[in-house]
Amino acid sequence: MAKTYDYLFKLLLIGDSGVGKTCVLFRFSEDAFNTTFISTIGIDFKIRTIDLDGKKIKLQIWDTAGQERFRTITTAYYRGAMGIMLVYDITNEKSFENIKNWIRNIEENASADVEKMLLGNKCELEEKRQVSRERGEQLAIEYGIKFIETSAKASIRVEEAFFTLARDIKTKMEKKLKEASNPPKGGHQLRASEPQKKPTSWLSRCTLL
Amino acid sequence: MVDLGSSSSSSGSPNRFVCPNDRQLALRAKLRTGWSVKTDSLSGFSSAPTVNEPLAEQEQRAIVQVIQRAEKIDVTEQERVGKLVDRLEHMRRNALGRGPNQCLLCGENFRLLGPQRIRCIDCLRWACQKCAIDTNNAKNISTASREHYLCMICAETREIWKKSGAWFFKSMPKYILPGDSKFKRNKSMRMSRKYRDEDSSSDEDRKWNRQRRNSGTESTFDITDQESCNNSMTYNFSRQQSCSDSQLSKELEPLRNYMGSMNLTSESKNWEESSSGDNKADIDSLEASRRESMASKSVTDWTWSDSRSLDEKLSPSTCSVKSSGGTSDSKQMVDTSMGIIELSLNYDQLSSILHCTVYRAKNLIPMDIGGLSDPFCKLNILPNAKVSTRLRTKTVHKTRNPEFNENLTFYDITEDDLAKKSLHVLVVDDDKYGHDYMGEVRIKLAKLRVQNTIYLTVPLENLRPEQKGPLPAPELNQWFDFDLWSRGQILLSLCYSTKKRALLVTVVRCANLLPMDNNGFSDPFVKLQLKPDPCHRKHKTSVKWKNLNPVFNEEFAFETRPTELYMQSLYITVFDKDYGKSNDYLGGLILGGSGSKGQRLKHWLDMIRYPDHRHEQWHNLTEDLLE
Ligand SMILES: Nc1nc2c(ncn2[C@@H]2O[C@H](COP(=O)(O)OP(=O)(O)O)[C@@H](O)[C@H]2O)c(=O)[nH]1
Ligand SMILES: [Mg+2]
Ligand SMILES: [Zn+2]
Ligand SMILES: [Zn+2]
Repeated sequence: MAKTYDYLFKLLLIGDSGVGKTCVLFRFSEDAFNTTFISTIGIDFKIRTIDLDGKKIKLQIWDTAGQERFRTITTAYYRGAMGIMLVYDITNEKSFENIKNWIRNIEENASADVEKMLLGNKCELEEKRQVSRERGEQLAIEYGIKFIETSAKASIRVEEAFFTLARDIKTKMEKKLKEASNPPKGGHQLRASEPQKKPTSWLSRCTLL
Repeated sequence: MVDLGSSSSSSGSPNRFVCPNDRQLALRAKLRTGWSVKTDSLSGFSSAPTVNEPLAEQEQRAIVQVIQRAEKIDVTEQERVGKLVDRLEHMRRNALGRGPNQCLLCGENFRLLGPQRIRCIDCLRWACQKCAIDTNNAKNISTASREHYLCMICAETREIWKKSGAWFFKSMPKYILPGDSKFKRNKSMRMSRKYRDEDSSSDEDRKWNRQRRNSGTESTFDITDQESCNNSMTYNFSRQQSCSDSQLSKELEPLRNYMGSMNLTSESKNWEESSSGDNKADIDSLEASRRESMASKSVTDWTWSDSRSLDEKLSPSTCSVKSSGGTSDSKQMVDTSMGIIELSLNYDQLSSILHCTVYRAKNLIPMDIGGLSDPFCKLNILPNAKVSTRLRTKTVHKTRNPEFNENLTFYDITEDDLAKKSLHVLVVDDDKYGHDYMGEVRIKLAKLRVQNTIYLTVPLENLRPEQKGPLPAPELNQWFDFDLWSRGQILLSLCYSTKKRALLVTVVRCANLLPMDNNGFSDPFVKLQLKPDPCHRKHKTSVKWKNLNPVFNEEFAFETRPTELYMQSLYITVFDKDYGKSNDYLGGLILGGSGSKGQRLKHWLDMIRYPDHRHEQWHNLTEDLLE
């Protein structure tokens, strides 16, 4: 029997082929690392249930192939993702430059509300670095998203990355709930001339139940 | 009714738009034949190779395995959500309270020394301490702040909203209610029938289809369960709670009548056709009931099935449909005064899924005094509309040219449905005082039997100019209003009399009021007040005892001048008469002034502009307390 959980969050890893998406995911789900490069076929996913503020959150993390030939199948999974990790390789300038294309891909295919995060992987390879941390940070600021440098090999900040993304999604969920429900009393007084807002803005969805 | 004759064909110009489902189609095609489609989304990558290798068989198999693994996860998730839904339904069914003097859940009476009365911030109903929670600390109530309580039903609804992912995907995902596995057998029987018909696909494809089919994504609805809830809910608690449930099995007879009255003479044949189809077979009702819980937008919904093969497109049966599809309308003048809407439809035959993409609307009618609107679209398959299969887009605020760009998916649309049914798109103004009509369009699905994807730009029609007509049935009210906690309607007549120099208000009747008393009825009367009014006049109708659809036909006069009417508002409030205690509020409405929009605003302005005429119109009552 499957473990019980409170929420299911679907995450997605995208980025050029070879940047280490599969390894990052393997590190997070199995806490292991494999140096042999086996190119991902189309799509794959791993499950890990984490604990956030006493809530069990089941993460279904989709790994995608970076190659063009799988693009149709991988983009089909964008829309279902609540969070997307954009991964590049700090030792590979091209993979960093391509991030903007991946962002565009997200804009075209993912839900507008999707939570995004930028990962600069292989950060233990300091001597081969082509992309400075500052440039990563700068790009993240440009897109208004968070940024973390990780290493799947040396197990650096991989946990942190996924926990951060999951937490951001959870925070967004709670914020949405607040917006959707009745504003607190103070909010009413600001618009004293207008009667109370109808409390059914999202409750109307209950009719689907 | 709009004829699809003018729509562009899917094979026409691929650059004109990229249907979001194209990538799915492309994927299917790719997996079958290795053929690849260039889409706009890929153009960003300069390094994109121009020639794509087809996927090897091994690769295809690997991908299918992943998808199958994912479906197991999906089923677990659907069962989990199903349990939550079931629990909530159970709670709703067993809610006992009637009116504000009882806890809405346990029905305990509030007395002076009895349990404390707490108002739920979501539904604004009253609950006792035991049946409400404090949202601030999610613990049971202390004596601290009083503004953050939720009744258990609303608390549970919120939980489901979060836990199901509905908060993100903007609709309830598929779910499987506990104990519905017996219907799966039914489903696979139906599927196997389908496979036999399908000669064009290879064995391999068929296997995939079957695997995907049988892996249990269909969420079924237990009919026995549903019937029992109908019975128990019809007069329990309050009528409006039964909305979704009571309609699950009931056909929308009143809706059909209503539609029929809207001078759709050319359509009458269609309605008959479909109503005969209703009684046809049990399997249809099974399908219909299964459809209830299937409003979702999950990514893994697509299947490997290909679109209709070429041979079938050319088959005589579909050709005859085309010719009978009604070309008579095509020569009519196109009236775009209500604006136009752009959408595309894609039918996936093997999985019986209808994908609708609502792109945008243009030149919608203005609803507020600033000339703007807050439109959204409600989509439904008619006739035999089911509350739970209607879908909606998000609201786009303050615009007459909304960009929706949303995909909405209908499940279990059979080919029979295609032949007989229509997609109904209703554009509605999202307003805190209720939803106002902005036009509609009905699109025959028959066209989808000829081509899988159609792209449409169609004018919206105004089929309900004044909302006069017959008494709105509760079902229609639900369907039109989409409002779980509706408070009923009122029919009002306004007339400015130049002779009497007065606004004459006739309270004609009310419909679908809430039952507030223990006997399942209310004792309604209506209060009227013009604001601002130097004389502070208030009028009251008589009390209609034990009546949820009272007829008043009482006229009242407010002396005023037309120029002043532009500044004034009429406050209409409906109460339940109670002796020995304060009257219960049933619902209210404001006409005119800054608080008025849409139909209410129009009604008011018409009254001013055309004096000495009676302007009669239905309005929805809102539960907002009007001060
Ligand atoms: N040095 C180093 N190598 C890594 C790291 N992560 C992945 N790799 C290597 O990079 C190659 C590609 O990794 P993979 O996860 O398959 O990339 P993907 O195509 O993005 O999924 C493999 O040879 C990995 O061993 C890392 O953090 N440090
Ligand atoms: Mg990989
Ligand atoms: Zn109670
Ligand atoms: Zn409530």
